Amino acid sequence: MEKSGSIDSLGSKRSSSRHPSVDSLSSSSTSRSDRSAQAKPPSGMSSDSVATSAELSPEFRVKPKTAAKQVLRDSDKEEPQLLPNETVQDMAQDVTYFCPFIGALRGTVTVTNYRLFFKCMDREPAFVLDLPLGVVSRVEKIGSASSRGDVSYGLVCKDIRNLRFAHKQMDDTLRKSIFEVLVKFAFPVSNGLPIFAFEYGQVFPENGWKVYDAVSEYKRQGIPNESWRISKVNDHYEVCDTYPSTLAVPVNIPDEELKRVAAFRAKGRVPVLSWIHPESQATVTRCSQPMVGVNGKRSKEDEKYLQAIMDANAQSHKLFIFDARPSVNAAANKMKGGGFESEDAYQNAELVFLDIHNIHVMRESLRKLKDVVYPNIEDSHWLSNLESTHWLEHIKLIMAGALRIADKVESGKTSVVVHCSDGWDRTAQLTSLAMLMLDGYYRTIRGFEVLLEKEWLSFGHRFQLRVGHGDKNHTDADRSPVFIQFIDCVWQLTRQFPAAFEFNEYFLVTILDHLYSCLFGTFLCNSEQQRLKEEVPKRTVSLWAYINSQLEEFTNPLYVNYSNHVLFPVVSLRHLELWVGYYIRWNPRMRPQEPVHQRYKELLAKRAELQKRVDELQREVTNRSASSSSERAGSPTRSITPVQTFV
Amino acid sequence: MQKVLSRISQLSCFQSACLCERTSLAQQQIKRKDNQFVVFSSGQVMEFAELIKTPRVDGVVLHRPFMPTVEGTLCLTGHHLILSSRQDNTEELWLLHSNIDSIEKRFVGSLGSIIVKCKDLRVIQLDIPGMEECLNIASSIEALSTLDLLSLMYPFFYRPMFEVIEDGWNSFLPEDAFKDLESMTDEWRLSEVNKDFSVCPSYPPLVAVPKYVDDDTLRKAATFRHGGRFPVLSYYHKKNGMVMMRAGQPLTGTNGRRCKEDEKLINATLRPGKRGYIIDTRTINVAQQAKARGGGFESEANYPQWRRIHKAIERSNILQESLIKLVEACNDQSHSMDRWLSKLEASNWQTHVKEILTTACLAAQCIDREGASVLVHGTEGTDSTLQVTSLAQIILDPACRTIRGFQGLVEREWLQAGHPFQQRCAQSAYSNSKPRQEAPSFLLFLDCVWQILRQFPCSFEFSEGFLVLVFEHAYASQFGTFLGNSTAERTKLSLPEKTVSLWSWVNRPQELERLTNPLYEANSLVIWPSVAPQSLLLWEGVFLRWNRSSKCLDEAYEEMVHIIAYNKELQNKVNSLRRQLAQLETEDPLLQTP
Repeated sequence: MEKSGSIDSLGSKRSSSRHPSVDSLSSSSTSRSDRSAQAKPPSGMSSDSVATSAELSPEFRVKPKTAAKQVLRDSDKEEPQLLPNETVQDMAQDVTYFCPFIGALRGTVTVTNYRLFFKCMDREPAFVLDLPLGVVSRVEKIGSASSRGDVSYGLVCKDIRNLRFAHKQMDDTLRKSIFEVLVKFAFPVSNGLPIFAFEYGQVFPENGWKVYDAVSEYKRQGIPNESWRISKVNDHYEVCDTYPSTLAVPVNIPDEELKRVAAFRAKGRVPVLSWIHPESQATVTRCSQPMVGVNGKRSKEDEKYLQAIMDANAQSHKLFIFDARPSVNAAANKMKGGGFESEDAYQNAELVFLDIHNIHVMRESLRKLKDVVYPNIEDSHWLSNLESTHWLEHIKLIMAGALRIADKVESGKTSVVVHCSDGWDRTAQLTSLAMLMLDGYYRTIRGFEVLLEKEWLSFGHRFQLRVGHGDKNHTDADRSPVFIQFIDCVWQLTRQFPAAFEFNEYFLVTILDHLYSCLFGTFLCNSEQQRLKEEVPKRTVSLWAYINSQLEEFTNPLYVNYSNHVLFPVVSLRHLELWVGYYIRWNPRMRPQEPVHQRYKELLAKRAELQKRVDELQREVTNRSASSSSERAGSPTRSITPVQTFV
Repeated sequence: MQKVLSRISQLSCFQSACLCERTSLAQQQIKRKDNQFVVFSSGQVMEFAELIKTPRVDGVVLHRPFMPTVEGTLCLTGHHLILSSRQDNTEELWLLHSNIDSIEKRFVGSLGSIIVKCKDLRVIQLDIPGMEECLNIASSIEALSTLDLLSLMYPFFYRPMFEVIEDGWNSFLPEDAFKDLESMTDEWRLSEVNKDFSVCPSYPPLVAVPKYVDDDTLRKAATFRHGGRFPVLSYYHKKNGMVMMRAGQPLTGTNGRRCKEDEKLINATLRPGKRGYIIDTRTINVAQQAKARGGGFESEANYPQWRRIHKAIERSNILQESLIKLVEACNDQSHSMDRWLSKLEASNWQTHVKEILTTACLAAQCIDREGASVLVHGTEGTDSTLQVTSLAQIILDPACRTIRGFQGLVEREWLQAGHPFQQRCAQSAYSNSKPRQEAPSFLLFLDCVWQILRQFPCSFEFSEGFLVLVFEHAYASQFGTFLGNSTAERTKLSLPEKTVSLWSWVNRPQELERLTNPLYEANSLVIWPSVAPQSLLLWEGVFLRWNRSSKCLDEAYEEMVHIIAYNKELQNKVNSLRRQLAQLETEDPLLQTP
């Protein structure tokens, strides 16, 4: 009896030690949905729903794999899970949402000071629309009350969506419609309310505002050195109110002279260093247009300054000035006092126009693109319709410009000066893209954050004006998708160099989602000076705090450290593609059928898990064999060598 | 001598139509190679020798996209164009003459250039010093690359230097496929009615037909179908017992001829009380017009149990034009490429892909969702019909998504089903000559498979490279697999005896490993591809392959392979450690017991 008992226990012991492995294997290889659900961060953090607030419908469920995720996330909550300091402002039953893909859905709308939340319980799983109000560009009442007594509202969104809702005419005319409440909170700036980022009270392990420090970034580049110094001339933003306080300038130009150069450059945006080549010392510098005007004004100081930039690089006796604009536009700017450098005045400098159009052309192009892709796509002329938006052509020109800059610096060992008119839109696109091609550091997650903080935020890309945070004035001519274009170019690069970037597509989409969400302070205001004045770093959370708290979500598993490689993308239109995963992501039929990034993530998770288990077992085996008698000194346990990691 | 010959075979087998990296091939060897076919192919010696006006030129410069130029000796042999720098560590070009689609000559002074455009869509340039040499080489290439006689083709001369583990000619016999069918159902039988190819010259000797339909009925039905292609079984859907059949168009003509035997044959595939679907790959107009030429479609009156659906897959000549336009747009080197998308659209290639995929989805839907049997045909039943039946199987049957299963599919639904490869693949996109019967039907099928593969990157055992490889070999190969237009022709040419099968080469561990998709996880489900134009992309791996450097894409791919291989290694490690631990645990008490 006892014997058989011991055999049993032995058997069970064995099976218990064998089982977990079988389980873990099968769970990782077969049931993807479970894993993906686990991998999501706890839903207390809402950005998760911001980024994936797609309308989900069971109709389009192709394989259970993708749908299971939804079932778990949506659970049965009637209301949204509120963020810290998020408060419900109004709720309405029996609201109809006209989903362009599924049709009319009847449900409940909740409006908070952060979001619009629509839920339809009639479907299985429940249909949820979770929209940060920052995304809303315009709310319009469509028509007057119809005969059936319905009032209809259209929401035009900044992220390539239009949403339509309707509800019954209120009997109580005194009571405000929920959409009037929504207007109030969608445009807080216009209504004298704070932007939600200033109220959001989530705490993250890392302070994202510390990601970028200008001095340490210049130090990383090797600045100061014998040719370049850090200047504090703009410490109080007196020389240039749209520039950062810390600037890198040629050593032999004193601050006083810098001020005189500033007088000759539009908005005082003097040429300053963006990036220096670690070997050749060729530099990328950025500025605004010179104030040449119709009379061809010259500035001795400016000419000397550019000469100093050229002299700082011993490898070349030439300087390239890349003017991002089409030459016609650059010439037209002379009428307004601006213009471009004449090659007579700037000896040894060669001026190149990059033919990139202005913010108005870009805005119009994206508007056309939206017409083509949302909500429904006309199948018969898809490609020529896409072509007629010129969106990819603009992307091509920006990438081609950045490529020329990178090539001059890397292959030509020549320093370049980049500007457009004001030097905060096209210039930012070009310098940051060129830097992304030249320097592998910027292709890491942290490096990319630094790149955005530096070239876009600190150098005064006017996010507030270009995006129009909380502002109801949707026709404002200052709005333009300049930053989206840049992220699109980055995405094109990741497609051509899938192993060169530490971040994945989801990272880029998340950045764009929070460009609008107003949940984080990162993209608020127009300049460093404004952000300091508004105490944005003190009063808001940085997007990087959120992103850096869950890096595994944003990591590209195929990343191999390419830090020493310079990327030269193919910029032919043939090799560019519409970023379907961003522009057409609301269309359920464009969802990936088998999300391969999910599979990659699983592989990495499995690797970590296995590595851990190998270590554990190794330790246990060593312990055991050490404690057992010396008779088994030659047992195979000893001969095991640790597995080498070759990644 | 034999050694040299085998060396050549070996080389060519690795890289039939590609550049091969070789380290040492001295001029001496090339000389000996030139002589090779004197011994080798005694019968054809004269013919080849006559065609080669200049067998060898020195100082030739080779230009290729994304590769350094190579200067060396150009040699023409009976089947290859070889360029060797005669130096160590440099690449050599070995190009099958049969891979050459067309050539162009250009002269600048006494320097001539030949631009060689290949069927695999690559374009290379050879700068040849001396006008006469250049002209001679050009006319030799022209002659050698347009040889019509099948028995002169390279596969008849090629001897494999690898060990044939499994003869690919015997891997996918109809009788073996039928055995699988028998294990699922007894409603079908294997008929030998076509054993001498007299009933239908483009069918194999053995075809699967409904059990209770006799051979006489088949013979009569065959007279009523285009090319004698009576309805035969293409696919049996295990899940619900529904079937897909294919045939040629019915020869109703303008008088509305009918054939009781044909009706009986296809009705025999229906379950009692069930209706089936006839998918005609042509539009109703095209089908109507076909009546004037003796063809037609099944009328409702005579086939009351069938619902007919017309789709719009274009005919061969239109597909060929589309390919030419597409490749032209892809190779346009002019800088005014701002019209790229319009040009791509104007080629209509993506529209054809969409139309074919849509029709295949429809067939699959009828079978899997509607629970109905399907008969597919177009006009001849050898092009669009096969595209639809084979793609429907990719969608429905997980087995077709494995490497071996895909080979079986190509054998069954293309080779044995009588797709005229010889005619269709005689020329590709660069041909100057007037198209005769060329058409990229098979390439379109592969493109469609690639689209599904791209949408379901984990559901296929093979990688994109396998599809590219099959494409290359369909157009030019050292293997006999894609020679001939039908089983009858292949039998007559004794291909299985005289040539090596592509599958013999593919189905070896080292090749399989190279062609395997590392992300593969068997997926037993039906996979429904999206056919929206935004979901369909240009197959860069074929059409832009020579316009880009794939280095970075390859590196990412390798990284993925690394991760997966490393995970496997770790898993093995875990298992072995666990075993050890278990052993230690069981040994401990044993040691203490005595």
